[in-house]
Amino acid sequence: MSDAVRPSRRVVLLGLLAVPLAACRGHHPGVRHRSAADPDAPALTAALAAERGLLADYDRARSARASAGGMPFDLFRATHAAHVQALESALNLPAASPSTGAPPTSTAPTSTAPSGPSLRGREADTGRSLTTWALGARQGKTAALLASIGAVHLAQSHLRFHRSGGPT
Amino acid sequence: VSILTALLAALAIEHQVIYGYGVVGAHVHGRLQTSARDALTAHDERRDRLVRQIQRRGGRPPVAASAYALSTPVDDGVTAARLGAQLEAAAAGALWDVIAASERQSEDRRLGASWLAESTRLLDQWRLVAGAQDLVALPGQPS
Repeated sequence: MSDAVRPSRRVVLLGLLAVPLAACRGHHPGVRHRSAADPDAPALTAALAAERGLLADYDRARSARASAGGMPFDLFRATHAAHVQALESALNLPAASPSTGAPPTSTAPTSTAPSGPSLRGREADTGRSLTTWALGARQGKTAALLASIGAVHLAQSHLRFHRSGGPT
Repeated sequence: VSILTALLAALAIEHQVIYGYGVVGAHVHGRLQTSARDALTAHDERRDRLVRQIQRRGGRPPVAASAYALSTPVDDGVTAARLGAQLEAAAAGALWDVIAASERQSEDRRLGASWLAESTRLLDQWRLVAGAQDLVALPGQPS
């Protein structure tokens, strides 16, 4: 790869002694996957389905005003909406799926809405699946994308909030 | 980017992160101090593992500087949390590159993914303590 060197994003502290930092980037924003020839398309497609499923779960939970169990549904939902967009882009699919927009505001509660604890479980399960797909991805950029998304799921399965809104 | 180059860059970041956590830990209290201490231990272990991964490839691991200048002043818990978030964001960026440069099913990729999950959890924690109103959706992704 002939990536541009962008050390500024990495250097959070300026070394008093020079630290050679070859922080090359492994990512070309202008290059997209081509799903037809991409050997990682099945993993990306599975990841996209998982994200859409989670989005739907969060929407049902919000609509039903399910017990949050300390989970800020809107914050978590927003990350999954971003994941859908990133995966659609990686698969070169048309963007702006309606399901990734703002969450629905007012619908009748349903009896099948997932609870906060069950959503935590879904976050953990999908996080593990995404990590597995990342480990097996043939393209490095796909592996990094899937691992990053999986890391968010795993983090969100553990994140706890105080009533005041701060993390525990 | 070769995997060796990515590992070397990640180690250089880890040296800075470890130094930075010493500062963070000195300015937070209670459960956050415990969290900073645990994070420091985890990053110590990550550094040691990176050294071994680099040496296995015949590379020369960079040594830590005796001190680093902070990118932001730290004088209370909020600014310490802000620094903690910057440290973990930098670590996540380096790990993205390690994963991208690694072979499928390799030890490097497995370690990178595991560490990225750990850094993401801490990144969210420090960002929220510092007052952020959102969560990072794609930690490590190049901007």
